[in-house]
Amino acid sequence: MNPFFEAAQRINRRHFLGKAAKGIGAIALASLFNSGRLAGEPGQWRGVVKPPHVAPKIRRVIHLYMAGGPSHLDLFDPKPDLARLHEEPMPESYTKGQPIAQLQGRELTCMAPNYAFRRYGQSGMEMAEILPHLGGVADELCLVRSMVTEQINHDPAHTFMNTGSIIPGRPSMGAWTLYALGNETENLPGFIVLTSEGGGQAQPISSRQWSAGFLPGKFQGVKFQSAGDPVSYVSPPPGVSHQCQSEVVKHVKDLNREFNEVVDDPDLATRIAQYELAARMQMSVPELSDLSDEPQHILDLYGTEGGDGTFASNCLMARRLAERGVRFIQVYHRGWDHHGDIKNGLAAASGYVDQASAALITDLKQRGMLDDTLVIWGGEFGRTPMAQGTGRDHHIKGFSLLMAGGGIRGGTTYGATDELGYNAIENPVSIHDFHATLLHLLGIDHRYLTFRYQGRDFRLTDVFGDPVTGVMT
Amino acid sequence: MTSVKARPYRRGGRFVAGLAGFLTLILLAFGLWPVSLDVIPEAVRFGGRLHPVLVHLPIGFLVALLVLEMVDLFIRSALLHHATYIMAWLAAGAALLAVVAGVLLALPGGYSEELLFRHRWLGVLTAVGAIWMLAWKITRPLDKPHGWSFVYHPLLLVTAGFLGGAGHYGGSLTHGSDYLTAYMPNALRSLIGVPERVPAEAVAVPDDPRDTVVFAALVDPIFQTRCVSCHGPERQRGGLRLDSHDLLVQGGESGPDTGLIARSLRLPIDDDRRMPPRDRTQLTADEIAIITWWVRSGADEHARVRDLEKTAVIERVLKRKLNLTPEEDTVPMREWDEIASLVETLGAEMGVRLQRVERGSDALEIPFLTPDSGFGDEELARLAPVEANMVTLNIGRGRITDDGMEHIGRMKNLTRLDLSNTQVSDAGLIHLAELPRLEYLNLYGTKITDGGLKPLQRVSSLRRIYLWQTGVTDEGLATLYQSLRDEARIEMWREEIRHLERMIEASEIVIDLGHGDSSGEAGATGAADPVNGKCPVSGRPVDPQQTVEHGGRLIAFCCRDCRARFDDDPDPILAEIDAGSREDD
Repeated sequence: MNPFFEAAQRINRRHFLGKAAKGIGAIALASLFNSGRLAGEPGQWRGVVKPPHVAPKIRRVIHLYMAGGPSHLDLFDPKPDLARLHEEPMPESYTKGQPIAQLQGRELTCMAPNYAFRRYGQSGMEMAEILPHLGGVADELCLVRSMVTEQINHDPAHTFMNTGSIIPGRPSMGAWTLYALGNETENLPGFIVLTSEGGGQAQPISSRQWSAGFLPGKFQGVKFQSAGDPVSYVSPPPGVSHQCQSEVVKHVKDLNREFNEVVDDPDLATRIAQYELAARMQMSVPELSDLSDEPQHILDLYGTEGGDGTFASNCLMARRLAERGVRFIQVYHRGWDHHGDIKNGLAAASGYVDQASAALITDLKQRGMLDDTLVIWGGEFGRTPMAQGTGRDHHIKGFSLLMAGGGIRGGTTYGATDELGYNAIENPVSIHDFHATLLHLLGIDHRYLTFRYQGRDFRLTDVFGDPVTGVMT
Repeated sequence: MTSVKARPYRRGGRFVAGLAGFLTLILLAFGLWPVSLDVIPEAVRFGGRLHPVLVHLPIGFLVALLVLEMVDLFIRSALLHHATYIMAWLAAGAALLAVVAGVLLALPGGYSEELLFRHRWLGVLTAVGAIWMLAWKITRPLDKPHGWSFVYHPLLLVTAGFLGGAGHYGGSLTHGSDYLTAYMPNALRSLIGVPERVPAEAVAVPDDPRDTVVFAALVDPIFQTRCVSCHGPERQRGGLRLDSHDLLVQGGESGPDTGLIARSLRLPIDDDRRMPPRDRTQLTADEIAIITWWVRSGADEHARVRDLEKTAVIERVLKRKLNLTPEEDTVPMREWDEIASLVETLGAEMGVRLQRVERGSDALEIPFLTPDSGFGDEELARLAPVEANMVTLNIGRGRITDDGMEHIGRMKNLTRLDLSNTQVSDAGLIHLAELPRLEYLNLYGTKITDGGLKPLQRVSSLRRIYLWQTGVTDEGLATLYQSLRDEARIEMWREEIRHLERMIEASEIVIDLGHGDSSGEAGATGAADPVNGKCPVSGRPVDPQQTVEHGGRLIAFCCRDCRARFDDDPDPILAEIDAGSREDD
């Protein structure tokens, strides 16, 4: 284990707060980042991949994470044969011996696509009629129809999608990215997570999904609140002026520094640096969350007034974070686990995300930022061609995912599933391939980004994965 | 020494002479009538390849025999004498084997006729000499040194001469005839009658390195040093000669295909078709890059460096080989080693990331400015020492005004420039007109108007321009689009595509079996389609070439090994196929 990390464990948060002045917002804020920087690395962390292995195509990632498993068969992957077999038995040659989540032991019948497909854009990309806004930016999108994953239940599948392993405790892709490249700004954390309300489903998502695993804790994703203040206690309490507070912080820092001359604890030095980030965030976060500089036509584009906890407001926030140099942003929307009443469920979920997802792409593009940003839209798996009553079950052998942005070949579809949308049969893309592609676009050769832990070099892609050249320019 | 037993009788001289005579005739027949076969069995090829191994044995034994016999003349030792017997036996036997293997090796051909003729005859004569020496020795008493003989010792010397000659021509066959003399000092050359070496005719390097003829100056020298010994006048492995442009274009046994030359260089080192073979000196990465580049550009004999399209990799190789700067109109970047510490200092002092674009590159970038970075015109001025290295400058939201633009105008290698949300106005854009490589330009949120776009019309490398929230009108945008879009070039590419499509159409193959004979058709489909789609042994997709007919069914496998396993024991595999077809149903 990292000796610095061990030292960081020795002084825990309570111990620290006990030593320092209590109850001041800034300190509570600092405790949000209690894992600290690597000692001996004063100033901003610039990453271990320096310079990049290959010239980066993108500087940052915005992952619109459709948690629950959106149905590729109703949204992205038209299957006329499935319509013909509607309510007929699913051919056993597909399903025999395959993992099945909730449909185990039931009679398997096909379910036709619930929505008509339309051709969008100059490229004629086929997507469902209930995604008109995403269809409007189809020529920016690369639609991967041959994703495969290995885990059929939500939590392990999220873990696999985020960390490349089903074993909890591995670093998430955002943490790896931050470890590799550092952040572009000192004023905000480099890996920020937003979750939205709405859609009728609110399955919990474990914060483990954006953890730093065995990497130093400062690389973990920081979850901002999507309504109200993005960060708790960031505003000074009533009656405490900014100046008053910054004087307190300064004195605490001086005391710490004095104490550090006695104990010479690298971790304390780290803490002092944390104060500085916390103080800077007191300035940067209010500016970040103040949407008064967004003109009405931008708010209308996303379909939000902002700060209301919706997916749309989170997309707007994601763009603002990207503009301010945040490296990795995940926007989770939970509303896609349609075991029943999939028809209405999909309409509702698409209604929540379609406009804002497309707005994010349009907005990034008009600012010239889409050329060096990667936008990912997709879930942890897809849904079965077989009916589960009025819904569909979890499906891992083939599903769809959208990518757009720097280095991505827009207006293309990549890979294909079979005629019933069950197995990815053409150019299957594993999660490891997906991770390798993501790192490649960021300028990182996934084979050489490693971290030694418990005597072994770990990678995001373990020993698998190849960048998918077919989706890249 | 004295314990060696005496064997006081002479061997049957007539029998030994007869046997030696018989072997001589056979050997001479090898020399006189070179066998040629249309189909060469693999065993023969294998036997032939033992020649390079076997051939060194008679050399060693004969030289040892020569030395021992010379010593024997002066030191009359019975033990030494016995040793010469053993040597003579070994020499004759090994020489015979070497000749046989040599004859087999020559069968597939590919060697210079003249050199092979000389090598063959000298080798045969060496073997004949060794056999007669042995015959002579056998018929002498074993126990006492015989002293100088007017038959034996001259024969030994002559055979040694043959051996030397055979060895020399053998070496020439393998390594090329000028292998030995290539680096011979001129004094020695004149002694043995080899023409004096003229200093290698330096391929004329023109004043402008871009006029260098690629084949003559860069490609041909590689062929001459690395390839011609096997693909030249003396040997033509695979029927291919690379010693002149005409010959290499003709190609080898598989027909004209210059692409094959480049492909062979890039095969994995353990591939049998890899060139040079793994036990020969390999080409450097630069050499492979040059040949591949030249072949892919059309393998033209007279093409000059400036005529051919160059990738970044080739530019780098050319820089090393010809001391060539990438393009006439660009400024060379400073080497990273030279500027590394300066870059670090500048970045730290200005509080921005100033970094290399990628590993191994000299190019620099500023990837991002935070809103409060304070980066502005003064900082741009400070980049002057590394201005040629800047390729990416993302300084949106920086405190940039028109005053700073002249510094940007000097960054001739700049490809990406983000000036969004800065104070830049129309006047400043004049400085961008002379940036020959600029592809991305972001001016959103600036005071630019239509007039400011005028200078950009000349920047033909521009591909992505962002003008949101500026004073630019649709009209100004259309004007810029029209002037930047290179219709002529695009039409040229379209023509190219049409040409390629015609090529694809032209390579369509139609094979028509005709109609009407239904019984023949049924029979044909029955036999032509394998019953299984996946290999019953490995489970991988089948190779239609690897099939076995069994019980009226055609069974396919993924590879020869799996098919062989079926031949060994078909039953479990048949059971597997039957199980598989039930599953499919």
